Amino acid sequence: MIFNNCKRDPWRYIVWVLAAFVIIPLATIFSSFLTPEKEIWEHLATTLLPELLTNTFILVTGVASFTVVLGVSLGWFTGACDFPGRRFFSWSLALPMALPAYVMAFIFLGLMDFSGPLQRLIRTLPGLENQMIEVRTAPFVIIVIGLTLYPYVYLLSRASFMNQGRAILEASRTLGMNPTQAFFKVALPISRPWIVSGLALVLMETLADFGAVSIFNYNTFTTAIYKSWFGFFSLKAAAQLSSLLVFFALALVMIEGLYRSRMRYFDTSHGGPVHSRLQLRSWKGVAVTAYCSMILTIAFIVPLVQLIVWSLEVIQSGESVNYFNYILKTLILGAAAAALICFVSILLAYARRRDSSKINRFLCRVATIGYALPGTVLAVGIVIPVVWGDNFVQKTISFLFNFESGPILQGTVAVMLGAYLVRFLAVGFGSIDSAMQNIKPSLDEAAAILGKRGRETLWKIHFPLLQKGLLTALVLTLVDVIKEMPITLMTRPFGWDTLAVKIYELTSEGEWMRAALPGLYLVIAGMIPVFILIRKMEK
Amino acid sequence: MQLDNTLLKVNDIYKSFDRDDVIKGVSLELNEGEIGCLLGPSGCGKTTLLRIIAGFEIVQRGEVIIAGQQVSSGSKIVPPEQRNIGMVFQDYALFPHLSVIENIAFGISKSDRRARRKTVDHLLELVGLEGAGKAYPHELSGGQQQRVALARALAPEPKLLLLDEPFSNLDVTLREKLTVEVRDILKASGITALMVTHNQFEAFSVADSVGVIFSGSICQWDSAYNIYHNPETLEVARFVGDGAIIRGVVTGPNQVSCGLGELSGNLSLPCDSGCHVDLLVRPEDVLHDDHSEVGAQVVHKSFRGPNTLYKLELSTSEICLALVSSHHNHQLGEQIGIVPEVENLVVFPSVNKLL
Repeated sequence: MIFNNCKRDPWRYIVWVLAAFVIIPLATIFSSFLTPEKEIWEHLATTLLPELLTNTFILVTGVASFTVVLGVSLGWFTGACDFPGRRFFSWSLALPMALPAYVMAFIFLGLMDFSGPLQRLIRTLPGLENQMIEVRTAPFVIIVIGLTLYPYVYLLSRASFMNQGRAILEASRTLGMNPTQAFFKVALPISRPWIVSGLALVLMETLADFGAVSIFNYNTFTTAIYKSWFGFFSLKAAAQLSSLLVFFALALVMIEGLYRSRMRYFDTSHGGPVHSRLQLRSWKGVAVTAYCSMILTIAFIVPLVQLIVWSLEVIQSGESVNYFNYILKTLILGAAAAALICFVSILLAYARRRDSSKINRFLCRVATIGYALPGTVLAVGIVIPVVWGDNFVQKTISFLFNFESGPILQGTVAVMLGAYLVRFLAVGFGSIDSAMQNIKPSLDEAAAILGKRGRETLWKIHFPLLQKGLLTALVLTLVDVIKEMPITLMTRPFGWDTLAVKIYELTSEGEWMRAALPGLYLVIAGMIPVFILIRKMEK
Repeated sequence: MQLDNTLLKVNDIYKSFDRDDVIKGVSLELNEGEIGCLLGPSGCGKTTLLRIIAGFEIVQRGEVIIAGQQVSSGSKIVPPEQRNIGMVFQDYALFPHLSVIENIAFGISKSDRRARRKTVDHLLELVGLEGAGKAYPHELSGGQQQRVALARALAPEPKLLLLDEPFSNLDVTLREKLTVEVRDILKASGITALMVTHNQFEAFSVADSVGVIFSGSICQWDSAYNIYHNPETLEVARFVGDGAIIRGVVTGPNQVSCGLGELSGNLSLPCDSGCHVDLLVRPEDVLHDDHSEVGAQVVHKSFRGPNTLYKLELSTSEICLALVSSHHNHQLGEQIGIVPEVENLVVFPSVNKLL
């Protein structure tokens, strides 16, 4: 704690204001849960809810098991074993993160649907002429979403396996366990906090997913929220549905926090990073190499190649494929949001540095909780108070000046930026705060003794020292905003279509091939943060 | 002739990592119930030797035999879990997700719950942690963790216990207390143990026999007393304990002339008269006496409570150490009288014969 002597530090208000900013959409959603509208609920309960709950349950359990099996096995092989190609797979298996789930989804459908090449091939086989495989079903949604999300579990469990140090595994060997028993009885239980936090992130993304499930016509809460707002024009029904979804999301936040705090008790890394890897020889090594190659091919190489092939076909067909306007809008929005998020992150990180009391740490956690809120929920939670505020101001103006003003904030870019800020503040804050924590507290004290005030210290000391973390934060948030679909779709003013929105429009008409080029742009952008992550990992 | 009760036999083993020879022909033997210790500076290969015995490293040549069974040789290696050994790790390697009881019971293969419980209770009592069974490792102090690690290693009743720098993570006062305790526990359980350490006091207070190891080979394998009082090589003499090496000339049977005057005592090496030697003089061999004819100048002193360690410059401008009761307070630069009282003259063939 620095400067705990100033009772009335003005910096503390920044934390309060920012926390309040996040609380507003949350409170809006909760208040609609507390004031249920009987008719809407009855309607929802009889028509939508059973399907939504079953679908969500199937999706969540399916993706959870799929990503845990995939992520933990790959994490164990690359983190604790040695086999041909291990170095290559350790980083390349993180690449599928670069694919947004909705891009993966339309590639999958393009390849696997009735009219896709695979099923056509099957139908040429004798006896299977009339065979049709329904791929818009739960198992395939689970596979598609799982393939883009497993890297969270993979990276965290791998880091944990690597950090366990050799002593803990060797200890279990001296106590009579063979390597397989040691994995299940020691390595796996110790990694549980990391695996569960990875899984919590996966499930937050799964609950928040809007693009992939709508491509598959698989109804979940996110699609239902969107439909009730834009299909039935009932913002209230959308809010009621959001209030349910937000409970699931917050439960995940708590689970994640609980296990994250356990990590330090489970940290056994003091034995040093030296790790005698388990040598997988002969057929075992080959089998693991084959397994890793298969996952990498299915989750990354095939989709990427298909995107490139389609893009080339579209370009060669001479069809007008000018996405310049979309790219420009995407980048303007992304850059503006990234700048705003990073600015706010610096203020927040500095305010917490000055006073890291319990209440401040809690408020920082509240302010950054948006990463768990699905974009659809957040859009509803932000638009409702904006509409309410606009109405209030309009009424006041017409009452005072007898003048009918139009909507003020509604349908402006400001609403979008506000929603992005709430949703992605955690991303920017994370890297800026960790950079801030690397700056020794004595620097602040030295600056204070030399007579510098908070703002000057921040500008002259921290800002220059933060540049690397700041750059990372800018890139990460920029790319996240670029890939973002539901908030953009639901709050964009007329004319502000981004690449993601374009993909939504094209895929809702089944135009897989034409969606490939904007999809490819997004994948390329998405690779940047993955490579930043990989570089960090290699250090 | 090999004794029947040899439990561990390490036979002329060689080990190298990437052409870097770490172990160069080490042999040692431990009898049943004996506590051995490998003492050496960091990087001397002592931990590698321990890991070879545990089965974590392979050897290029030589063999390891535990309880009559060959477990390591150039061609075969029995995995650690089948060697019937226990190990206490430097950082204890306690399983953070298991309670103290669960940690200790981890390696017990007995299926009978009550028998297991009995063993665990017995071990908790042995290491003095009766009340702490339900605690988790992170809730324990360093010393308690160490004791849990010991109990866990003893639980499967291994034939041989290996201890890798078991006290290095503890603070000094706790370390002294625990070395004595650990020795008592090991002796009470009657187990054969081999410990690795760089700290000679740990080695002396725990082990029955100590092997001093330098750059991959054992220089001397002996009792703690002999390692200290009768070091076989100059390296051992320098590494173990305080002391000074001063030049001397053998002047007769059991007689050496040096900067401290004429000394008589049992020569550790048979030497002819006129032979140049290096003589080991321990601080406790040099007594202070104001009336003595032999004088030396105080160049440094460190107060140690009951006594003061003086660093003295002799008339030959060689340095020797003297442990003097701290009531005798002398100033730096002062000339004081000393009396050498050396019973055993520990000498080494002199490298420098010019004097």
